[in-house]
Amino acid sequence: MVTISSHETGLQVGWPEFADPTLVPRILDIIAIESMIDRAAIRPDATLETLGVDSIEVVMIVNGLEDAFNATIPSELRLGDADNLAQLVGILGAAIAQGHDELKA
Amino acid sequence: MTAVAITGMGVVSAAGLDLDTFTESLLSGRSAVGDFVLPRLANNRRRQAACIKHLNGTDRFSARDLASCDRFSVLALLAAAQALGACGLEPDLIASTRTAVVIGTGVGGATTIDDGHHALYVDQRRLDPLTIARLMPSAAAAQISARWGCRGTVFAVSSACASAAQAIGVGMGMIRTGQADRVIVGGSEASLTPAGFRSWEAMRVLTDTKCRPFSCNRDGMVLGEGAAIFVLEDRKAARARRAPIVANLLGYGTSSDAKDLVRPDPVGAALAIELALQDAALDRRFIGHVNAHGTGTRLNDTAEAAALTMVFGDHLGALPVSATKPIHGHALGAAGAIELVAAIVALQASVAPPTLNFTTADPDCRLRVSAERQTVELPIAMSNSFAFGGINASLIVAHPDWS
Repeated sequence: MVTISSHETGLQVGWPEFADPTLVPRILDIIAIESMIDRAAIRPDATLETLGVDSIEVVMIVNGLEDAFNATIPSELRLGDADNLAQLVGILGAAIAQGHDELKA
Repeated sequence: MTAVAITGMGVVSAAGLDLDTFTESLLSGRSAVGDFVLPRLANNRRRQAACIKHLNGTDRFSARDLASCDRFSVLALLAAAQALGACGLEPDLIASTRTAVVIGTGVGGATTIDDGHHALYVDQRRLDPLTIARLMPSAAAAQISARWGCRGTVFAVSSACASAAQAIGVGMGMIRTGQADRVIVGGSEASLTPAGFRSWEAMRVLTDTKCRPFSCNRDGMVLGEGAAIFVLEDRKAARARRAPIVANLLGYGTSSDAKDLVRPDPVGAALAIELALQDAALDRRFIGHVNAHGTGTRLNDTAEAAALTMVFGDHLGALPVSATKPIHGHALGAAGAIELVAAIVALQASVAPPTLNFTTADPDCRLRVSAERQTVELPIAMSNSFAFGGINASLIVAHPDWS
């Protein structure tokens, strides 16, 4: 998974890529449902602040992802360090993907 | 104004079932956090908490007395027995209309609530007739009142994690205004039930690693349980009867953020700290040590550091700050009382206790965190409690020799 910050490149931010191509759209669906925001507003360069998503809604998103993917998202993830949704989805997606690899192993 | 003395102090915590053991854990940095299994759950992954595994001293109570008590009341009774035993008051003075009892708790009888719901929903059976008497948040205060015959003002304070600190502050006010001659104050919490624990997990504020207050890599708190109880008296009266004064209670400040129920506002916390200093009529430079609320969550510690910075400014560089929750866990409604014990024990030993698991300073928390135990010069300490609900409380205590 590689995410490049728009601050570094000046280029448009894109969603991270994972081995499972359905992972990102499923995460985005859950973000939309849990934070009650329009799915169309969920763009890679959007931030939680600009979307008006508060800390409890972030908790609801993470809990929703754990339930949907039957995964455990650990406390030490630095979700607050994400500059935008692309980075946030990158951190969450990596944790979910890693959890699934561990289950398979 | 009437000066208020603490003449008795008792503590029951995973870090020690008595004052001596608790003191040893605190000063040597021995953590009571350990593996913990929740009953009644199918999905039972490993969890951690500072829970009291074996409770000593309950043989002093009859089986009938214990049957009327939730765990949080038992913890309160045990801590009260220590405090009342230490204060040297004659039983007939304690058993008086001039003795008040004010005890903080966040939840009240959590175990009773859990047992009751299990009996009702799972077992489909009739509830125990003492369910209400056990679960009510005022049960611990009422049990203390009944056991020692305290017939003055008796009530509970419930303001989440500020409960005990507010109970102590209110009790201090009652001594100052002459509403009571003796006030038994403190807090008790025993809410490590499956539903209680899972509710904290749902908020995602518990650490999966270690509780590291003010550390850059902190990622959450660790829960605890326990009780701490104090006996408050007019200092003149306490001196006149040659009471064993453990500390003087100098100041209390409380405030409400009046904003978000779960996101702390440094302005509200700073106001409580400032009001405690004003109440004690103390310049900030006289504070020699702070026992921080320091939960180890990202939001609390950043807000608390900002609040301390607002009030203490350039004095912060000379002010050791300890967060002792990695030792005894976050005891929620009892936290303010257990941590006031910690602050007093630290005063008596002239040290700031270690803040366990602290690794790297956080640029957002510019405090002199006492990562290791260190010597403290000034005999006055502050203990902070900041609660969900945006309720803040701060207490100031001094060594009995200070005047």
